Amino acid sequence: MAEYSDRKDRTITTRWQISGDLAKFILNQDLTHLDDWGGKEAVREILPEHFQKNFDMIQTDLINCILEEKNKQTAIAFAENISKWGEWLHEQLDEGKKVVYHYFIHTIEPLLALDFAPICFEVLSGLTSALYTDGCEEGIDAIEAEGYPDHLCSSNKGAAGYLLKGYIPQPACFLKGSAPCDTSNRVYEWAAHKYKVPLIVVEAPYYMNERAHKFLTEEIKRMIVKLEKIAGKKLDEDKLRHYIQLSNEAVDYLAKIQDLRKHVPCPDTGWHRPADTIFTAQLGTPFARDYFKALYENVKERVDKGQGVIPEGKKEIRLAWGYTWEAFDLPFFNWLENKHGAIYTEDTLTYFPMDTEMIDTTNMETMLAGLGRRMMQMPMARQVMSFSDVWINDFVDISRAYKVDALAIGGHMACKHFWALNKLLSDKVKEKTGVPTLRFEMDMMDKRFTSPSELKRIMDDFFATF
Amino acid sequence: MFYLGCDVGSMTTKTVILGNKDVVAYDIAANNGNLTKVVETSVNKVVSKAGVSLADIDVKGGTGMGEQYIPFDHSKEGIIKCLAVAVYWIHPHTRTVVDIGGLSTSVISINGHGKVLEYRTSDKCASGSGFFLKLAAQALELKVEDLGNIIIPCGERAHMGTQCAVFGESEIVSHINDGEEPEKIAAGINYSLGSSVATMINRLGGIQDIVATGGVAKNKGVLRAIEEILGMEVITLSSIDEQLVGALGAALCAQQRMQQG
Amino acid sequence: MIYVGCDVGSLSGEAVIIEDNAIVVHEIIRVRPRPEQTALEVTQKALTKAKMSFDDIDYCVSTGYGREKIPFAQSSISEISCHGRGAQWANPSVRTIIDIGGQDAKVIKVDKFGYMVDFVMNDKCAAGTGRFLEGMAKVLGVELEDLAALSSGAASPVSLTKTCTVLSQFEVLYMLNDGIDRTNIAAGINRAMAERVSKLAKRVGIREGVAITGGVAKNFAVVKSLSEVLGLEFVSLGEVDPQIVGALGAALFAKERAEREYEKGGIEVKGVNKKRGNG
Repeated sequence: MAEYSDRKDRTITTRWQISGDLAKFILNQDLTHLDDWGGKEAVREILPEHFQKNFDMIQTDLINCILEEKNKQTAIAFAENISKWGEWLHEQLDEGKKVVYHYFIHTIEPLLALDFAPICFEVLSGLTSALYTDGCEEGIDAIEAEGYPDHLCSSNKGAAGYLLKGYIPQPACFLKGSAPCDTSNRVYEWAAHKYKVPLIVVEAPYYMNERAHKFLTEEIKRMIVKLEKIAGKKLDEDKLRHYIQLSNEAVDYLAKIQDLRKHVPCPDTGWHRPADTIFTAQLGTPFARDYFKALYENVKERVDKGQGVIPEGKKEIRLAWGYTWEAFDLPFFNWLENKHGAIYTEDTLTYFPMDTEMIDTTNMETMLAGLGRRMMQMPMARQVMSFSDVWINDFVDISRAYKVDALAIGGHMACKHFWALNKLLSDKVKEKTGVPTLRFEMDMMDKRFTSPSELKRIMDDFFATF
Repeated sequence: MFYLGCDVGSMTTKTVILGNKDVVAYDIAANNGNLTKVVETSVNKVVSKAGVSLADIDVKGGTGMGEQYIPFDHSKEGIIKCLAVAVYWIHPHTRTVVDIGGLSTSVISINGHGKVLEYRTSDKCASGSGFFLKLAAQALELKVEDLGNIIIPCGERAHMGTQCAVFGESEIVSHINDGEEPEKIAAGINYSLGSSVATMINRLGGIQDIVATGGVAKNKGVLRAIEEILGMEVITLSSIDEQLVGALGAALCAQQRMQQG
Repeated sequence: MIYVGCDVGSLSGEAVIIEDNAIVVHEIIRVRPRPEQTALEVTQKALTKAKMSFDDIDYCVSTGYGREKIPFAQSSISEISCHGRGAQWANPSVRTIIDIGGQDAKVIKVDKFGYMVDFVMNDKCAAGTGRFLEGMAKVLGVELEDLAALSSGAASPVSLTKTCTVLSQFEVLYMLNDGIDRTNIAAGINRAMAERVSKLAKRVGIREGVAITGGVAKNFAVVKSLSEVLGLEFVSLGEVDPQIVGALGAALFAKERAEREYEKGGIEVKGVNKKRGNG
């Protein structure tokens, strides 16, 4: 039995670690559904005691979803790598490594190379929201009670609330690119001010061109100088190379999987879209590489067999999501596939355009330039650069390349960027491809805004119009 | 061959029987009391008007928020599709359908082949709904039908400050207590409703021909208000009662389903 | 010295008379068509109860809807401030007040003197206000006063999915159609109300020492549900009727204002000469 930390400031990460081990345990039993053994209560009885409390917290539907044959293998890979990551993180913390909370658009190779313990702030909200019945609402409520406006992004609020409650480790510093939005910038400013630690800002350029790339690369250099001061050491080229090689591998798999999703029938299940972002936030770790590798092998196998992920005999409806998914109901994607034959092929947060090159690891200059280029392509950074053409054209391209039948746009209620252009995007896609659109509101991580059952009703109504 | 379509809405149940080209019989019943009984009674009425029995009708479609209360075998059809299909069938130049019903309004954008491209339903809030018109008519001691014919130029209308249907009732009472003429209040109400609907149409992007359906489409005051705000014409279908469009659509969709096998 | 506070709401009007820092009498009536009429009637009733007349009033403060139009009040103060003041006087440990009125809901944070520090109000949407309950009582076929008792002993409260007052009434109609027990429906209504109010409260943040005021505070079932949803016990307002807290606060402000003006020296505060609108 693994040693699980009982430190309060490791509450969230320990919870994940246990969930990962628990999921592996359940997935390795001969079950296709919790009811095989008599339902959730009966399964609880046969679980080792140290798993029981965590088991009570996990969404029942999620467990049943990952037990389905089509989801099992990748669920094992997901669970394994979350658990390993949690264990690794705690080891780093035990060794006295400093925590850097960073935003989603940063790739963490330099942080790893400088021996920090990097944690993506928003993933703290996202994964908690996805796994547990109570989601990350506790964090959201805590930070709102503190005075944080309720109309700002729940991806920041959950984690900020956890910090306030002491459920996550104290930071050595915060790292934030100025993209994508003012909303996210506010929470980092607040946190740095409150916990009296430095906030390192990487100024994201406005345009999407060579000059912008040069600017961003310089910004990354400045970032490194500041990080070095906090780390008390210089960035070692070989170490950086090692982590970039790992992230290159991961990105390579990611790019391949993305390409394979264009196949008809689509070989990749929808719940991976949110799940992938947990590991996109840690490109450079072996866990991200291993997860995407497993995912790739799973997808490739289906492509070779000409298999899809929807039930036999159902007509495949290929969806793209104009903004992004909801984190609080992963089985929702499974339900889309099983009930409606609808497969979620692509969305803003998981779209890595194919012109993302591997980072040239020849020397420090090439590596930093590569990091700059990659950061410009990271989900959300890419979309807010330049004019809305980038985002809109991406979706016209996606609609064509993935042979999309319908564009669903579940606008995250806090995302001002998105709401500014959602109609333009929807109109343009309709104009260029004739694809019907569904636009509705929801909150990515707070299920109280548009509940899981309401979400399903909206989709039922939408498919009834086909 | 006969096709039956039944639309169980929030305040009324509508049933039509479609022959080869036309509606041969219909009924509109108020949803008072047990819903299943209301549907049953209404359908029986229509069926006997058509001179047939329910068993004779092979194809039956049901739709609306109360579709689950239809007691006989039928195919379940989505209301949005029903509205789109029916309006397109009658008037192929339609590009926008605006259905203003008892509790909610839907705006549907369709292409040149009648395919639904996008739609929006106001399902969070009853402002701008037929229900509010009913409350307003009661407060003004007018018939709902008469409310519809009141159109008064801007500047003379009473101003309705609130969006909420519930608070709106209080506001009407306030106006009455202030001695405002009922006609001016009615005109203000029509305008307020029309403005809610026009906003929804704009959000989706209204493209002509814009066709209005649903009970509230019988209210000329509301339609003129929408036109005034949009700067575009809003038409209604002359060949069928505005309230029956959903039910017609259910019959047509059920027919399509049968033909596809 | 006799001080009067008069609060005209959307569904009810209240008057409170205080003397020597104690409540002499209070009165609650259903609103008349005009706020001035409501104010006059409720104040008259209170005065009659106390065997006093308008001439006996040293200072009167009006609050609520149409407070500016009350001719016998020397000044008017917002209901937010009045509620804060009134609640804190009833129980000095009060720091947060949840006021659920006929057509609005407010959450007010106060300091130890009863002065307002922050507040949030919903007056745009009937959900979470007295109107919501009123509508539901109608649909369930009971009097508003009997709605609370209806939910007693509910075995499985329903879950309302719609927020909107009108839409949820239809939801309840359907439930009745489906033969769902009215007790369970009533319990579900309480919960929906509590959740809506709780959402509002969280926006301003709860500070310990929470009191509940307004007409809906007398609905013990809603109060219990709100207590459960918020995860706290409400502090008691002692003998003070929760519906009169606004008027009480107005009366307290009347005392404060009168004493301040008296200290400034010069203004005769007593009597009906102090009619407003005449300079």
